[in-house]
Amino acid sequence: MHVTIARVHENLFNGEAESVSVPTTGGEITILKNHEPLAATLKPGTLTVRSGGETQSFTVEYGVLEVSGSTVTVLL
Amino acid sequence: MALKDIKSKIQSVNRTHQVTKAMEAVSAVKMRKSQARAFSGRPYARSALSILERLAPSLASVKHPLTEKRTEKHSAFIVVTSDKGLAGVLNAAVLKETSRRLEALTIPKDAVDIFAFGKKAAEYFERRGYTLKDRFENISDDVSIEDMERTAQTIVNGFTVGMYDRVDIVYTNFKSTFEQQPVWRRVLPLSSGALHDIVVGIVPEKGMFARPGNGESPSFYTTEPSSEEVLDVLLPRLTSVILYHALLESKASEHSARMVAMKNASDKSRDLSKSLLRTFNKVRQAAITSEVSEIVGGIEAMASK
Repeated sequence: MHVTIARVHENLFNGEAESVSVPTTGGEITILKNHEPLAATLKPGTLTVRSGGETQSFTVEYGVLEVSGSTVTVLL
Repeated sequence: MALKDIKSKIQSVNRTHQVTKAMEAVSAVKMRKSQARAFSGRPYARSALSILERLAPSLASVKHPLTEKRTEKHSAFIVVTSDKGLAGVLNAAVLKETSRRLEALTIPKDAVDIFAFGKKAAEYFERRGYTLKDRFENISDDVSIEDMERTAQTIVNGFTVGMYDRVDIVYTNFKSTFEQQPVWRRVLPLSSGALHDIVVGIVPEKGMFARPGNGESPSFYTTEPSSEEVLDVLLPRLTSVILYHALLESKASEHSARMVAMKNASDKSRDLSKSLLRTFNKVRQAAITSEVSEIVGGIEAMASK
């Protein structure tokens, strides 16, 4: 699953990952492979990307999440 | 021409050469920086636009104030140029494109508000009697996103309350160091057609970001909490992204255009200085030859006495 996390002026993460945990307005969700297409708004919290035993965290204030096919895009 | 005149001319050409060469070097550094910034801004803009594009089927059905088409009575134009000249045809091309678009609109002059980024645009439209709603000068190379959001907010609010019925932007798209192109885009009301144009325009022809967006488009989206709320977050943001992106691209274009213009100028001044030096040597040699022949003539005249 390809994950892109970007801010307007910089690219925070761009690569393969096994799972992504995102704080959406509806509650915290974790996205794994083959998730159904989803578009959601985010609320303040922490976003975690796990790839091959490594985890990376990003602070979220506000943004949009999109899952389509095998790509996950988070715009902060 | 007298020897002294040529000499002073050579000196002045050399001075110009030094100036243009320094400007070329400075622009080259700035160009590299602003190109990197323009490129780093592209993934976000591309993703934001393609999310919206994929949500577009619902865009038609969802009623959002920013997608609403109205009869065009009042319009806002955002024009992005540089503050300073000496950048080839860059500014002229943007201003010409804007004038062309303004003429194509069937809206009287006094119903158009201009948002001018850069001194050149402000001066141009002020002289032609347009209403300058806002002018931004001395924008540093690291365009701040906060400033952008403020302007975008003004424009989005203006559109929402009905002050503007459409908003357009004209800026320079950075294609490569040697190629910049003035482009016009409709910002508001947002439509899937206009968005598609922007997405296509953002992907560079070659280089590390030149990959086509993923074509797979799910026919159905789960939206949380609702399509309206996702659009509510995305649409106003998108306006500032378009604006921010336009400014970054224009900056990169400006420095590239200036570097190329200055390179041409310093090449030309080097050639000119060379040919002037040749003239100088010829004139000097002619003077020496005539002096020598005068002396020889004088000696001969004296010897024959």
